Amino acid sequence: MNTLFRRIWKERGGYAFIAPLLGYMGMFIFLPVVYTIVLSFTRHEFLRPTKDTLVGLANYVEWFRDPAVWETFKNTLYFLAMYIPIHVFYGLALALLTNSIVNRRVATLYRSLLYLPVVLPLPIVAYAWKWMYDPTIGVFTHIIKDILGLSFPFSGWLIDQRMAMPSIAIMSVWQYSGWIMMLFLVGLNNIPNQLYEAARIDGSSAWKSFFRITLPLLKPTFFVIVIMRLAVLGITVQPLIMTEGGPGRATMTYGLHSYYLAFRWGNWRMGYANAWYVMLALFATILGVMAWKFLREESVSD
Amino acid sequence: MITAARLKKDIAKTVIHLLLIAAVFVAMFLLFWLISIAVRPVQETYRVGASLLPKKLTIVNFHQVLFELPQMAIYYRNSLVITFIAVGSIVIISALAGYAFARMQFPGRNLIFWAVIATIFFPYTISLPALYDILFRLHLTDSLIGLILPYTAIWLRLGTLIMRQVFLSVPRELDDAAIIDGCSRLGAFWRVLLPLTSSGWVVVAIFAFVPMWGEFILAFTVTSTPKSMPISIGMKMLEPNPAFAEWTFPVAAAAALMIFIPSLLIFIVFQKWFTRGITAGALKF
Repeated sequence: MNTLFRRIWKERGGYAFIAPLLGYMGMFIFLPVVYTIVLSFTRHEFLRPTKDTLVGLANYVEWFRDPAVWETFKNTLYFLAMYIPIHVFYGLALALLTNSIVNRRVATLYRSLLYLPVVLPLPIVAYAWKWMYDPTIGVFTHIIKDILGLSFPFSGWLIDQRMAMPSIAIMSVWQYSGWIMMLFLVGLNNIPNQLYEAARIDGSSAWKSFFRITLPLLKPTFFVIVIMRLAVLGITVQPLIMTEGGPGRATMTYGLHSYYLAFRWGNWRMGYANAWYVMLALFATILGVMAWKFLREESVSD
Repeated sequence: MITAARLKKDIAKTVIHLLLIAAVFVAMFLLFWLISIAVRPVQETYRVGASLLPKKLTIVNFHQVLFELPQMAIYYRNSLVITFIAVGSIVIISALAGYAFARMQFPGRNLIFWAVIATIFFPYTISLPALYDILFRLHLTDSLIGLILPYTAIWLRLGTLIMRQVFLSVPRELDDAAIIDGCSRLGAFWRVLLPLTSSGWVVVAIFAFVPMWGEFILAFTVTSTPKSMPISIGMKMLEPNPAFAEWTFPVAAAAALMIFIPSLLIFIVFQKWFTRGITAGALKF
């Protein structure tokens, strides 16, 4: 033990270099995470100035019995089921299309313009889409009805029970497909060209090389995307800005419900809200580990 | 002579370009539409189904945003102050930490590094109530510093990851030589390595700025008065409200465009760094 302390003392320069990082991380990342877990075992109502009392697993028991959990989880899954596949395939398509262009300057121009929505600030994009969906000034209803002369079978976009969640998904696809495209381009660049040449010499068609070479070798990229997109399980900001969970509770996602529990409804039941957040984090971690195991084994066996 | 194969190839090429042009049109549509709304007089937006293109052009909406809505200037200034200080801190702190993780030996180095990186996968929204409670106890809610400190912490991790990669890619002989020549560790870091890794910090700064400029949920939760609200929250105050007689869609569109400007400028100026950042393992964003 003494030697360890001596080594630590001897290498104190290293700790000095990371001290600012550790200070910030400790205060605003690690401490809140620990505090979240602690609070989830207490009755902590922010607006009621009573002392917190330890309630053990009561918040978790309530979570298991709360019908809102399943309801909001289903809403979130509905969003993910539309958003994830569409933006992954659209992003892959964009990557393949821009990759097939020989002139590098033109390809770069296309990529930059397609990536542009990713860098725009999310809340402003959400407000702007909300206006585009607006029944009065909105542009989509105008295009469908007045310009194309088609009928639109819904009462509106964000104000219609059935269209509200798809509308948010459309916006998210629009904003983040460029990011997926970039990730796939990195993945495509990592595939050695000789493989395609060998396949061509062997007389296999473009389709065949796509399914036999490109897709299997993009597996690490798919893995990265799955891991990075797990955060979307907690989607909050888009419905908060665009619909506040409505109409009715059609766009009340798990993340938004948790947020409202902690900061809008009643006495701000942060203790209970933290039980929601902890369960979400657990669920995301399990999914992440499963994805890691699954995709790693797959790519090793190939 | 045009052979069938050549013709087929040309058709394929044209189709690819047409598809990409359509995709670019979709990606740019929001900007087109916002500009088209922002340059028309407000009367043109009363009609149901306002047309795609304005009939009359005007800059009065931009004028209104800039000079007649005093709070806009405050929000904008707040955002600039917050991002300037936080991005600056992130660049410095992540350079120091990245250097330590790449170059120095100390017990627990890898453990600490991976503990820091692992937290990137847990979005800060999950610990928002606890973070709010901590800021409240520190009397930091509704203040600029109450946003600067957590923002620095949140985007510091990615910066540290990038800077470690950057320092690992610099040959070790360079700083060893500097130390032999009589530089201290800090001196070698400052005089030799920092100038060599300038493109690394640019990437760190960009990838901290972009999400920070659009951060919403923490600012929405922590701020309650205009003196500390960043521009993303200020937008809410400008939102056209059908309950009021005066619909302000063109003004709101003009304001939205002006909030886009810093992001667009950074994107245009540092375009190639974006790809570099993504390739360098900077995956988020």
